Amino acid sequence: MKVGFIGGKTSIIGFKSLGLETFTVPKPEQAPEIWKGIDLDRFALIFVTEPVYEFLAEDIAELGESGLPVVTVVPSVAGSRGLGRAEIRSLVERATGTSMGLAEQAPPGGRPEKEQ
Amino acid sequence: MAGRLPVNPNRMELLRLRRRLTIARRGHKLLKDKFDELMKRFQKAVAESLALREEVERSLAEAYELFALARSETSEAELDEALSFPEANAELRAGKANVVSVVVPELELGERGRFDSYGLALTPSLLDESLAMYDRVLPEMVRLAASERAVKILADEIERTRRRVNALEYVLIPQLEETIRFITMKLDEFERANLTRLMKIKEMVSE
Repeated sequence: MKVGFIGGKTSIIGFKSLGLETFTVPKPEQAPEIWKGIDLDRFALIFVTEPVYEFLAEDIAELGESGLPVVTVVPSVAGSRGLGRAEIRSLVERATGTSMGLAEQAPPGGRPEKEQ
Repeated sequence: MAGRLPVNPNRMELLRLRRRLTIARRGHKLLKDKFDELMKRFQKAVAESLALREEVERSLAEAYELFALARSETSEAELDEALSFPEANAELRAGKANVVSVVVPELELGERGRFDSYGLALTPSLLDESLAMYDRVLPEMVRLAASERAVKILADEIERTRRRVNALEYVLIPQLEETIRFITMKLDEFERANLTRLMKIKEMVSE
């Protein structure tokens, strides 16, 4: 099964040469449109950059958590906003009722500029 | 909040309820064990996926930086051309693993082939370097994806199991105990009533 990558051009184009199927999102707002055009059954794994994920969160939640594809958030070229970490933290809170010492912390190597 | 079940106070009910109580207690213990084990695995999975994420985000940031440099040394069109016809292949094999009877996905990258299938004359060497970096990060990213999904599934299962443990511990078991106590008291009461009745009759007969 294929691996997909959705995000801004600068973030994803390098992965194209590794054989990933890339979907360029010119502006994060357009992400849901592009998402609808993807044949999800062909993918086992889809990476999504953080700015795009913010617009796709609902669509991705609809997929459920048991089947494929697995959707994973990765930082864009603009640096990490700590979305992935935040998600794990909220899961830990939901499961255990405490944050298990995972305090709010600045992500490594993060730069605040917007992508593109 | 437990309250008692609406039953008739007789010996049949009492025996039935006692049996149910034993089963409920055993179920509670089993679920509790499952919960503890899930929790242990969950903590391990969380630690692992956080470490992986940090690693991936750091490497990815470096790779992006290199790539940006490479990009600045070449024209957009040349770069597009170089990257648009990949020879490499990123096929995933998706399997399933069983953790305490919870099914989590396993993802494995297959043979990938070469990523530098473009002409070397028109592209800067930095591009090779940045792509080599991407190539190294990719397996980590796949591992991260599987690991985060496992954390998600475990979190769901833990929530569900905790709800069931609590339902048994705070509702069903107290309810059963309460009802058993009620029936025992009622039966004792009948016994005493019967006894006094007998004594009274004996007294009347002997007069």
